Amino acid sequence: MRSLLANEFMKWRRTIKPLVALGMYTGIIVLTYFIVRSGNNPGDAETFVNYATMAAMTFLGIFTIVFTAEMIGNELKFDTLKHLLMSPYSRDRILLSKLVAALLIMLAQFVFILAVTYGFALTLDGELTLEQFRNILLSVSSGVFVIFLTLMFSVVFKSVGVVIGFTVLANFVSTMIGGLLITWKPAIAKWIVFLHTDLSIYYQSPGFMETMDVTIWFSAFYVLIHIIAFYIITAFMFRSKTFAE
Amino acid sequence: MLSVQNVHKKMGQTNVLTNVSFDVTPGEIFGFLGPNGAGKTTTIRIITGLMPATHGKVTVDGFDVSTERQQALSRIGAIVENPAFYPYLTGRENLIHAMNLIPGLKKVDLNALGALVGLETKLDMKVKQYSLGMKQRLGIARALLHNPKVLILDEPTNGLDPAGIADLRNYLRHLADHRGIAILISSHLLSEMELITDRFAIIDQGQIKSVQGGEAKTESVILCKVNREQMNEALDVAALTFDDVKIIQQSAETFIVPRPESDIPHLLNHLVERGIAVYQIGMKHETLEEQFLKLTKKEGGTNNAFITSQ
Repeated sequence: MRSLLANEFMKWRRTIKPLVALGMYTGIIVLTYFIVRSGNNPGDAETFVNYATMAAMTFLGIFTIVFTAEMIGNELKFDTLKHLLMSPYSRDRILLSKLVAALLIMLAQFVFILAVTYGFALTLDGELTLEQFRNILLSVSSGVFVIFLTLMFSVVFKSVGVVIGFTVLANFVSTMIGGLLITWKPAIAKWIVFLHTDLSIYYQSPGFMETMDVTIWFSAFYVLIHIIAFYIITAFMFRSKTFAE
Repeated sequence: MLSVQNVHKKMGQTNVLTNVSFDVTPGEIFGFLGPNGAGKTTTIRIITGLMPATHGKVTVDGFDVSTERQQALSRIGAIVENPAFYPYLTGRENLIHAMNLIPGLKKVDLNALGALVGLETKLDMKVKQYSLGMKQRLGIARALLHNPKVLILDEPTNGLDPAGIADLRNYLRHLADHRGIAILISSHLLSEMELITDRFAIIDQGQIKSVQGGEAKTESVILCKVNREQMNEALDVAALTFDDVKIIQQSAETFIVPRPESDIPHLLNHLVERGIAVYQIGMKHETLEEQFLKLTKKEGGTNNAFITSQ
């Protein structure tokens, strides 16, 4: 398993995209830093961390979709998947290595964002609270969900572009419809999983979830059921497809 | 070493393979010939575990590919269809990637392996800068990385220049003779296959039409070239010499007699005795291509698309 993970990391870090991603995270954090500091009433460290992580996490979500979609999509594009599948390792292990690599790559980027943000925050006035740190940690749940969703689309569609498009569309449309339903039919809205993926919302906008009459444990369990279902479907398809041209 | 037994593959309502059976022994180079769509690649995909067979069994060194996957596949090195690589990685990194796909594979001397296939100075170049021939060589290096007992090469000479093809031929012969590797080669280049293989199977429409050994590889006939004005007389002499054999006139001045080499002096004596000017006499061997054409010829005398495209 370690050797399969080493392969996935090698393939990821040898492209230009990781550098682009890290550059964009740094850029958006630096930009936020200067915006927060500018003006007559400069913001404090807590305000900066809120805005900087929110902006960087948006980019992290996009790059997570791209990197995960490419894990299988690029193998199809370069016709290298057959070499992976001819290996003595089982298909389940190969898929698991891709999932674990996607999760670790997302977490590594998250740690990078935290390190840069808190590094800049130290130069600003004001206290940084544990509650804020907890909220940032909880927001990682949406990244985890999106990895499972993207991986499932990756075994269905050949094109990386289509996988990315479907994942973004599913997120966007479901969140939009869910947002509307919360107002009119909150009892239905609570069954839209995309409204539960970011667990930090329970602390940042608690009223939003109270409308649907759900708890953080309900959301966590509901998201967990979905990612298990996504993985079962992904594993079944990855095991049974021949991936022949 | 490699045993394919009664393999059957059905896709939807179509029988893609029907009772395909052959064996490849250690140290043997086995050719796998067939027109496009005959089932060659499907057979190779089943052997390499990329696709399950509907019925039948494939074993490598005694291990069943479907039930003892790890043991079976760790004994196979293969290039299927075309050598595919990650273009943004170097040749060396692609080989490291392939090493990581073999459980328990210890350190491999990649420089020595690169030298073996003539890429010693090119291993640190990105694969996107490689020519097709270089990719073929890298593919062979990757297939040999873990010292497999069975080597499967699908169209290995694609993109190689004549010198490269000769090198590859010699190298495969060396691998078969000195390392005892069982080699299965599928190719469209029939003349190359004739030079390289010990035995071969011809597959068409999902069925093995013929499996032939080296000694039975070619049928031979006597070919005789005479003065064209004496052709009719020469045909009469040949018919009288071998009264139970059908003499076939090939052109205005050549005819063939389906008899062994030992009958040449006999025929020559008769022709000379009758004053017929003989310009040439000898054995003509039926080429692999002629056998292939014969076996894959479709009803109505039209060969399939593969043959007409050659």
